[in-house]
Amino acid sequence: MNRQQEYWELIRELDQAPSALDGTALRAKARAKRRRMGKRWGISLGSAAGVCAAFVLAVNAMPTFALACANVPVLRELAAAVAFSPSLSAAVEHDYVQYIGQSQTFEDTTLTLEYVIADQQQMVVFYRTDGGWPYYSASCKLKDENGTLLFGYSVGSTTSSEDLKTFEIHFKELEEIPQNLTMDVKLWGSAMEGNDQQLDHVFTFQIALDPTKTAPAVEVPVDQWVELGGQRLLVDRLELTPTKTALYLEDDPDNTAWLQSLDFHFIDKDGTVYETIDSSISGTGRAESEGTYTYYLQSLYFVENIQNLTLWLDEAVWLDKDVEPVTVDLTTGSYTGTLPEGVTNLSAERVESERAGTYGVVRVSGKIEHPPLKMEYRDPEGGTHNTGGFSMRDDRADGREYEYLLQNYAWDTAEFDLDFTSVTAQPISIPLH
Amino acid sequence: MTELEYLERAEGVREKLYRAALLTLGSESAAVDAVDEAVYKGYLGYRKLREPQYLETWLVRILINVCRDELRRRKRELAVEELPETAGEAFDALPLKEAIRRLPAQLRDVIVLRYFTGLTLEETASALELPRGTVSTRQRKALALLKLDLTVEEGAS
Repeated sequence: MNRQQEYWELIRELDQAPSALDGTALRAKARAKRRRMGKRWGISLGSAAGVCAAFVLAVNAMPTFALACANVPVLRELAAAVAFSPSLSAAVEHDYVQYIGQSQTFEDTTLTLEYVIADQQQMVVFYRTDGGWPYYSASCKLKDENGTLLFGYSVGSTTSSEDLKTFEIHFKELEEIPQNLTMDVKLWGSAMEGNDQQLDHVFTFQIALDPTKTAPAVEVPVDQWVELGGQRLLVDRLELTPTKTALYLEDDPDNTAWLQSLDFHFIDKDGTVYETIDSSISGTGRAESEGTYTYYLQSLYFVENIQNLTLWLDEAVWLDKDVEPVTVDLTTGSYTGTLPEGVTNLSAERVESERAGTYGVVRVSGKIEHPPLKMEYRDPEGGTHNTGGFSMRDDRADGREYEYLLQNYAWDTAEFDLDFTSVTAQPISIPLH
Repeated sequence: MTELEYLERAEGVREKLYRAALLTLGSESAAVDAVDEAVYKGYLGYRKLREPQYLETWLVRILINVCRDELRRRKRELAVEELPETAGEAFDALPLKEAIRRLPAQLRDVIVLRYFTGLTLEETASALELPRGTVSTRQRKALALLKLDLTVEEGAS
């Protein structure tokens, strides 16, 4: 069979759609209805009584949270663990901590899950390790009570030598978080920060979440179009949970650029500023476009009179939709293509070193606050490579310099995609009436 | 656009979406899931669609992004690797369906939309948010790699 015959054969094969496809629109409608009803926790409030009520903070009886922390050892330890995060501090203060208190040991390592702070945006797990390494980090997979793997979340963890460590589970698209969960936790131990070795074991915990300690999300409609740098954005709504604030934006299909990142803050009438990103994730993309249109900030859940706040959009970073890649020549130091706004210089060279072998270096400098190039790049034969990072220095006469290393790269030219094309730094205010 | 209109038009375009998803993802169940996901995302956003006449193209765009997300997820699990544009002989040796799946993503999207979903050059450009000339160039490259000699009129509908 030649290619033409194969094509028409394939067309006939594809015409036979499975019956499972029928009713896709009604399934979408039913799913959206479930979403509107909120992310459910699966059981009635009453049936949760006694499930995990062993941890009662009762801080409301204390004059101040700080005083409460000073007097209660458990609170003191938790307060220290969440001190960096205004959102988690407020969640602890308002009694949204659930006690887990389960330990497991494998060979010489004991992992203890101590507490959880959970809401519809994320779950923060506090854990303790006792083993042969000074530093640990952790990751996990979630299963429902039937053992089915859950999808639609991401896990963030930093290597830590603290006694009480944390990892975060960010629920991106997981709509119904089961009340009964299986958490398969993997540990990484290391002698120094950033040099992790995975322990060859999965620690499995059965967790029962307490819906009484899981505040429902609060939606704050904004519904206001703004123009930033010639692009239109709909500031659609805020979603507030005890652990974070999500800002949802929509773009105008006629925009010529994707929004890559956004700096923003809130300020109240007394001048109190809310600007901390205290989650491991600052924004997420979505299926129908390449930009980032959901952003996260510290929680405003416990802020009274939210309508007295003003949202300030401070800086928007854009990537033109029709952006073309930049090709650098390591032999001549030249490049072809258009560089991001603010870049004043690009140099490229091949370096031969006895110790490190031959590698390429690309340096980009100018009045730029954001890395100009993506780390993945292509050789002339279409193969993809990755710089694995970049270094940055601020002591250049023309501004900031970003340096990308092309390790073990044999070709003379390399093609890079831009990470942004322009920046709009003209703040816009939106009162939350 | 009313909800009923969205539901009817989305149901009507499901087979086109399925063909594109099946060719991109390679499995029937993954393709059905991808169509469900795209139609669901469409349901959440159809009220904000400023030009309802382009609903079908818009749904195709959503589907392509759903499939890209799924492929990115699979890539982390070391699933099917794309072949580079230079691997001409390797494409020759593969059955057409497999060769399409292993095209570089930019070329695969164009070929799937043009010749298996029945979109015109303009509609493909709109769905992928690319200039018409770019789509035309990618279409030419993809057809050459696949050794397919299809004219512009041969896009299946």
